Amino acid sequence: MAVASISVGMFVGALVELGSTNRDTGALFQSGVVTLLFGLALWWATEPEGVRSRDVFAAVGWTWVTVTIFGSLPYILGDTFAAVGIDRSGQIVNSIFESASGYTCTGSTGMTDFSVPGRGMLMYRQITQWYGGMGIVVLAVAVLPFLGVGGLDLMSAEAPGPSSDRLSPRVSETAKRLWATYVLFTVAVMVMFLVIPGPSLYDAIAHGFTTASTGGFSPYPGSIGHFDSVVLEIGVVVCMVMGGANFALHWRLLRGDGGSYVRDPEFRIYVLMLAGCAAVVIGLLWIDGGVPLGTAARGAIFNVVALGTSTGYGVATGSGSPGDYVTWLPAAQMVLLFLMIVGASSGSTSGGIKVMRLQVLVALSIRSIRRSQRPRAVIPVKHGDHSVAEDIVRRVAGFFVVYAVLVMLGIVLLSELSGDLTASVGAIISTLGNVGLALGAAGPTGNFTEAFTEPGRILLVVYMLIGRLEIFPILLMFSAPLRAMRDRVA
Amino acid sequence: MTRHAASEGALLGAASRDSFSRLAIADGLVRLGTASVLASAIGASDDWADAAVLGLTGVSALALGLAGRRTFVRRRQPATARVLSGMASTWAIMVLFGTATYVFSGAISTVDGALFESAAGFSTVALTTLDPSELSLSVALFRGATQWLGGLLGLTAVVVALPRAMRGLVQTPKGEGGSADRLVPTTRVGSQRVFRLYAGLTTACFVGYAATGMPLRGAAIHAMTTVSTGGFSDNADSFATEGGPARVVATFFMIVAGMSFFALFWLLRGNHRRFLASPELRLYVAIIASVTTMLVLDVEGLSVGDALFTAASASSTTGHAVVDWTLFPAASLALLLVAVATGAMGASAGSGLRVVRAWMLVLFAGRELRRQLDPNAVIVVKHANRPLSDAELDHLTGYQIAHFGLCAVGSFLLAVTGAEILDAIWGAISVLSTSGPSLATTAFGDAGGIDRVGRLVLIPGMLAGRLSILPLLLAVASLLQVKDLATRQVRRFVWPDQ
Repeated sequence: MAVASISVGMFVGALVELGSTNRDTGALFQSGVVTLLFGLALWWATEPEGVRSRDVFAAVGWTWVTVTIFGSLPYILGDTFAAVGIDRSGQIVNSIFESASGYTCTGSTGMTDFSVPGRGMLMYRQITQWYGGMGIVVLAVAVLPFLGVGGLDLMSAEAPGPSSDRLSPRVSETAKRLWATYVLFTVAVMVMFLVIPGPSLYDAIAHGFTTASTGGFSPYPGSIGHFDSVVLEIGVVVCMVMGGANFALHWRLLRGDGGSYVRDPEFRIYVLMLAGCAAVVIGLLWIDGGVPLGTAARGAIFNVVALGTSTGYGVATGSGSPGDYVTWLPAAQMVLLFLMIVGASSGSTSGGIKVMRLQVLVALSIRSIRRSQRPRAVIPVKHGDHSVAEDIVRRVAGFFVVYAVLVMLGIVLLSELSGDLTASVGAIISTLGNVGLALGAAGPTGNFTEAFTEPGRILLVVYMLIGRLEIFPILLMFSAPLRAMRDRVA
Repeated sequence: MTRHAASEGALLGAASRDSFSRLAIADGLVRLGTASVLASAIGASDDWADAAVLGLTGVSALALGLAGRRTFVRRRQPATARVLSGMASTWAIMVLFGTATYVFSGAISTVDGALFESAAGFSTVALTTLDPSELSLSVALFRGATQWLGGLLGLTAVVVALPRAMRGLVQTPKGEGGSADRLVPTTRVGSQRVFRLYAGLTTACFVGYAATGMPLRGAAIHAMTTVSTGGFSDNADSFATEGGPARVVATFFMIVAGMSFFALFWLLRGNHRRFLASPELRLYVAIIASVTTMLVLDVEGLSVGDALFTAASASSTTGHAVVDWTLFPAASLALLLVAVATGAMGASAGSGLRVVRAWMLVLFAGRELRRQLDPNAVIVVKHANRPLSDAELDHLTGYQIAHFGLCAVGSFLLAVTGAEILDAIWGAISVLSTSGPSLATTAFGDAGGIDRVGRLVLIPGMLAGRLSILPLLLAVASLLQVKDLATRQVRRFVWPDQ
């Protein structure tokens, strides 16, 4: 079902592309048909029964891998990479990279010439991020009632954050409400783009998809910087902040409970963190870097929010322009790197380790120090006014340790494959946090094709998937097949 | 004065003399004074002025230390916080005396430069702003002695003080520290055994260097800085100009210095089986072997010996260098950074995350992964055949998160002073691991490229790296008047020999 559903995006892209003379229309249409047929065949071949807990990770992990592969078909069959002189293997690698970057809402790109793909192909690229934002598995849970058994596990495996909020006692109802909120939020963002002078209807729809999903793709190489509009940047900043908030809070707002934002301890820290980091970066650029206050504030606020919400939009109008953060002071870049690691709220469309996990980790750390004084004291780890269950605390700590190991391993491997340590550090943290933009050659004015080798980009695809599914599903997706094989042998 | 008032005064007097911190400082001053006087006596023929300054500061430290030993007593059992803050205070006082020695001798003209050199010495960080070959014999020996004393302080802390202070919270694993009660039955016996082993290794290292033809001055300084995993050298380019045999001796003793005191103790007692049974030892050796292999494969023209030297220096967090490894390919650099961050074995003179902790974290993460599949399964994490309790694992992870946090803050502060991102991250990790050299400096530890503010920023990191993060946090808590951490004496420190 999840695989079949992505064909809709391909057909929409083909409709937008209709009438153009390049190969993209046919590529999108053919890919849509193949994907739809394959998805329906899978659906037909699968017995409609609930998913067992231990098979959840395999189901979710393999779904995302399959979607990424089928999502790359339009790029492989179209002109996107073929027309810019990249060899066949490079085209396939770039296509998979672009597809993974889309569905995982990472926003990194391997495209070197944005004038080659048609508007339909670029729209399809935007739609991939919209699918990935709320999650294709959540979509499947919403529309397939038989997935109710084990559906919560499926949603938890895909949902960002240490625990998923239930908006209704019924899992499928929760999934429907989440998608409904997501659709409404997307429409609101599109309206915002339309109201502000500058963007066309196409721009509004295209950016609506990738702002709500905190994906960060844009049909323009200059991203939001293409419009060079302060008013639009302010609007996008607000939308990005909302996109990085827990969607359960948005649902409560729709139900008339606007105060839930203020009551939520994660949201408070999330907003304070963004504001604090923006203030630090503004101060550094203004006082230490000699950048005029207004320019510093404009570039700092946008980039802090874009990277802190893992959206990854850019406002650089060229190399060395005020929005090109790779030319900023190292300390300012360090703040951005911190935000890439942390990400935004749990239950949002963003990536990173999430603010809630950071709060739990800090509380755990403080408890360890306090216990040095009182070894037998019972000191709960608190989040807001509530104690966090010990098994969740340990899961969060385990997540962080695995995250740190993956970062170290990824940096060693990527620097071996691509040779640039600074770019490797930035790219691994960026793809694991589904941010999109990185440091050095992979910054706002660079691209990943020139910054990394083909094997390096394949590694980054793996990291995007690991980051989107928050590590465990991808690491454990082989466990169910292996168990089945072991049982068969036994 | 009434009798009641008099007895109250006597009680107050006794209480004010009952101070673990002051007694610890006095002990530190006695050691520092003795080292200074010895360095002065040996170097008198080389430069009498420097020798005189060292002699004067040494005698002052010795006199103050001896007076402190007579004045202060340790009757009450100090709280854990007192033990930790005592260690931090001892380190700070020794650093201040070292600073005074450098300034008064004229070896370093600025106070901040002398403070940095002294802090790097006592925390066994191989960072310097001096050209060591231009120092007089007495100052050069004193500089080496600062690292030797710092290594001894660190080793005593991890073998004797911290395990006792943290008893009930974290048990050191069997094979490394499960046998701690037998090897360190009392504080005094434990301290004596640490000192004997440390001094014995230093002597053996000195003899080894001298036998390779190294001048006695260089042999003495390198012996003190190798066994302490300090990394200071008598040459500006560390071991780059030393001959092959000296490099072999250095490599061997760096690896040994990064080993656990307990493992070495069993080896010296002839219990090879127990020594080899340590899983941490096998991991430590495996890490060095793996890094060596990767370096040989990745760096064109690097010999196996030089690769082993570089890997041993990184893993033991010593900081000696034989080649300019900052020019290595990116993957080798990343690998060296991981080795420096992981560090040496627990209960060793080396520092860093420690191999045993890194391994426990990996085991913990593995358990959490398995729990994703079977949420209700009871999965026991074992190390060296001993199950680790949830409380231990919680403490371990919480402590490491604080360590990561400190790395992040240190990196940011270094970046504020102008260091490039990678240089700042590497610099902070290297200093917290008490290694020293990083991309922000030269491979040979020349910190001239870091500005004055940056060098001052590194000093608290040196303390955290040498004595573990807790003393630093407690010192900060004392400054901020955080009651829970610094002032409450909830739990008493147990001194079994009293």
